[in-house]
Amino acid sequence: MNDLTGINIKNITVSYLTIRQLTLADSESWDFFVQAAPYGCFMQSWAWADFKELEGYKTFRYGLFLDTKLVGGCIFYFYPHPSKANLLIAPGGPILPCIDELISARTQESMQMLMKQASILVKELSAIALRIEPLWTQKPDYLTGFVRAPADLLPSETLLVDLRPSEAEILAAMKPKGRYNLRLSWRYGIETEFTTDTQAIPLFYDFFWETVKRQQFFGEPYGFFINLCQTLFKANTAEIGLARWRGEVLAAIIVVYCGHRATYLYGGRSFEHPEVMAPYALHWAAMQRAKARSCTVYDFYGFTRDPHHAYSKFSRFKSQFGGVPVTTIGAHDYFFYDQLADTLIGLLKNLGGNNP
Amino acid sequence: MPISLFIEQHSSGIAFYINGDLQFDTADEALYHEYLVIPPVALAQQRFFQTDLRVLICGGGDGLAARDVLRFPQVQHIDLVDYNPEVLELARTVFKPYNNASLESDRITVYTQEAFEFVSAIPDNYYHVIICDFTYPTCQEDTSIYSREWFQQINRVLYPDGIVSTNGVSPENRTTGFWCLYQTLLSAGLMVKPLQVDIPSFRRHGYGNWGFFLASNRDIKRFELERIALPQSLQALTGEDLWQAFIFPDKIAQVRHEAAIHSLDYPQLFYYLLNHTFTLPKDNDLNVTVDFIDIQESGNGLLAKSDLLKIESVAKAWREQIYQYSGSTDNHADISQLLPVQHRYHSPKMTKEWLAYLKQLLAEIDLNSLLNSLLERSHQLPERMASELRQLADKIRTKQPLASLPPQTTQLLMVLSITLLMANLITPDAVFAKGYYSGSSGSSDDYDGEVEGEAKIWGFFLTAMGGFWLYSIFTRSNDE
Repeated sequence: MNDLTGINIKNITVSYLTIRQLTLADSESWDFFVQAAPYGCFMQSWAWADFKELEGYKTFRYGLFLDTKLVGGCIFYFYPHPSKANLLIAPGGPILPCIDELISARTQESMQMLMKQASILVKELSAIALRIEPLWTQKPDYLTGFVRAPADLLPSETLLVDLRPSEAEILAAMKPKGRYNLRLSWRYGIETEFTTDTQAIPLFYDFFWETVKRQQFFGEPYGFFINLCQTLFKANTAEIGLARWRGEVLAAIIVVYCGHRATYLYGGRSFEHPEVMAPYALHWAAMQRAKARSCTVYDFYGFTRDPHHAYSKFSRFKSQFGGVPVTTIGAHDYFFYDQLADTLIGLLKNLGGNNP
Repeated sequence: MPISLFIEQHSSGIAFYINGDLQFDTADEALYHEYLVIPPVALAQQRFFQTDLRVLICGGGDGLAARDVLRFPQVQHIDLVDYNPEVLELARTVFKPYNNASLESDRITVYTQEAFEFVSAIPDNYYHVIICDFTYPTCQEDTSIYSREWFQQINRVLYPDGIVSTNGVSPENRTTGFWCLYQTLLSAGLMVKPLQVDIPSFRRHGYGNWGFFLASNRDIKRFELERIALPQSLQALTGEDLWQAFIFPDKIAQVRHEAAIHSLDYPQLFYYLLNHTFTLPKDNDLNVTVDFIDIQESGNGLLAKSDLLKIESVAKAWREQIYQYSGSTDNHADISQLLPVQHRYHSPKMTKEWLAYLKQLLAEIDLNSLLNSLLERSHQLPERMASELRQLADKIRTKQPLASLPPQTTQLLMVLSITLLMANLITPDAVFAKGYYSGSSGSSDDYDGEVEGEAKIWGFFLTAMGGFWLYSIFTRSNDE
C-alpha cells in the first residue's frame, strides 16, 4: 500500500483521512509525529500547548489519521476575551502529510479538513480569523484565501547551523572572528552547564531582563519563564544553559528541543567581563549538547541580513557561528468574512445607542 | 485558569510565586502580613472587649496571615477559605517553619473553596474581623473578589462595628487601581482607611510600594487607633510606622476622585491595573500630604457604565476622538481608551506599536468578500449604510474612482480598523510578534498586484477616515 495516498493497488481498498480531537492518550504519538515531521515545530508540541494553557490560552488539539495512523494535525490556540474580535492561532502549524511530495491531493484534503475544523472553532469562539505559521519555505498553491499577516510570532527569517558534520568541521565552518572569540573563551576557562533545575530560572531571568533593558526590547515577565520552564523541563524538552567564569555566571540561555531541531529561544548576558566571550562558549556548548541529543540543526531563532533591522546586532553575533539563513513563509491569516461581518454589524448597532 | 506555583530557594529562606507574581519573601513577609492582620484584629479586640472573636481569612492559604491572627488570645476561632489545595498543602509542609504550623491550630478551620461562594452561604453579622489576602488579579475573572458585590457580601457577614482588612495594589505603581478599590469599598457601605507600606522584595520586583485598606461599617477614629495594643514580638510593625502608613502624598491621594467603582457588571479594576496612566510627581511635589486617619469620606465614586477593555467601549472612544479631531487641531486623545492594554504582559508602548500595522492589517482584507458578507446581512444595517455599501461595491467592481467616502462607510471602516487591531491585541502572543518588513529580505512576495491594489484602496480609506488623526496619535505616542 502506498502509505500516503491510502490506495492499496492489490486489494483495491481506499483509506480515508479522518480528523479527531486528540486526547492525553495521544500525547506521546503526537509528539513523536511532530518531532519526526520535516516541518515540525516546538510550538506544536504537547508540552508547549500545556504551557500555553498555563498562560491562559485554550488549546484545541486535532490529529489527522489515515486509518489509525497519525499523518498530520494542528494545535490551535485561543485566548478567551469577551469581545467578538479574536484570532485562532496555530504557531508552527499546521503539520500536514509530506508537503514536499507529489501527493498534493492528499495534502490539500488534509488542509481542507483542518480548515473545516477551524471554521467550526471560529464560530464557537466568536473569532474572526485563523492565523497559521508553518515552517514551510514555500507557500503551497492550495493555501488559497490566506494572506500574509503583518507580524510573525516565529521569526520568519532564521539562521540554522547544521550539526551533522564533525565538531572540527562545524568549527571550521564558523567565521574566523567567531572561531577566534570561541577559542578566546576557552582560554579564559569559561565553564558551561545545562540544567533542568527550576532554581536556575531566577538566574536566567536576571540576565534576560538585564539584556531586555539594555537593548530596549519587549521582554516577557518572570512568570512567563516560570511557566515555560516548569512545563518544558518536566517534558524534557528544554534546558537552561549557563556560562560561568571564575564561578560567576555571565550568560544564560534557554534551549528548546523538538525532534531534530534545537532552538535557542531566549538568552541574556551580563555587562561584566565582555572580554571573556562567555556567550561564544555557551552557544558552542549548546550545539554540542544538541548534537549529543541527536539534533541535526541548531536554530538561532531570528536573523536578519538587513544592517538597519533591530536584530542586526544580534544577527552579526549569530552569523559568527556560520550557518545558513532560512526564510519561512511567515504568518498567514485566513479571514472568516461572515464572522467578521457579524462582529462589525454588532459594533455598528452598539454605536447606534446600546451600551457595551 | 490553571495556576502555577514556584518556590525560589535562597540561602536564608524562600520566595513564593503564584502565576509568576511574588506572594512573599521570607526575608520581609512580616511587613506585609503584620500590616494586613495586626491593625484590624487589634482594633476588633478593643471594640469587642472581652468578647470571643470570630475571624474570617479569605485567601491566605500560605498560613502566614493566620499565624499573625493566632497571636491574639481573644480570637476564639478562624475560618480560612482558599480555593487552591496545592497552596494549602504547601502551608502544611514547606511553609510550616514560617507560618508556625498555623493551619494545625485547633482554633482554625480550613475550607478549600471559592471565597465568594463560601461567603454567600454565611449568615449576616457573623464575623468580627474579615481579612482578605488575595493574589494580584491576572485576568478580568480574578477581579470579582475585588468587586462592589464582593465587598457588599463582606459587609453583610461582618458583625456591626466589625473590621475588614484587605490587601490592595500599589498606590504608587497602580494608583488609579488602588483608588478604584477605595471607591469600591466605600460604595459597599464601608468606612475606609487606606494604608501604604514599603516592602523591599516587592519593590525589587518592580511592584512599587504596597497598599492595604482598613475598613469597618462604623467610622474608624483616630483615638481608637491610638489606643490599640500591639502584640509583643512583632517583627516589623510599630505604632509609629502605623501612623505614617495612613499618610499619602496629596498628588497620589487626589487620584481617588477620578477612579470609578469596580462592579461585576462594569468591571474597572483590571483596566486600571493594565492601563496605568498616572505618573508619580517629582519628590518636591510629594511634601504636601493627606492623612487619612483624619478623613472619613462617604461613597461618592463614579459609577462606570462600560467595561473599557471591551471592543464596544473602544469603538465609542474612537468615534468620540474622530469627531473631536475633525473640529480641532488640538489632539489630546486618550490612548489608553483608544487602544487599551489588554494583557498583563503588555505595555502601552507595545500596544501602540500596533497602530503602525493598521494599513497592513486593512490590506489583508478582501474587500469584495467583506462587502458581500455585509450586504448579505444588509437587513441588519441601517438603510442608509446598506445603500452606501451597495454603491461602494459597485464602484469597486466597475473600477470607478473613489472620490470621497460617505459618512456611514467611514464609520464602518473605523469599526473594521478597531476590530483588526483588537483581534491582535487581545491575543497575547500576537503583541510580541515582530513585523518582517523593516528592510529584511523576508518574503513580501505574497503582496501581488491585486493585493497591492487593495492596499491602495485601503490607504485611500484610511486617509478619508482620518488618517492624519491616526498618524498624529502614533507619532505622539512615539515621542512620549
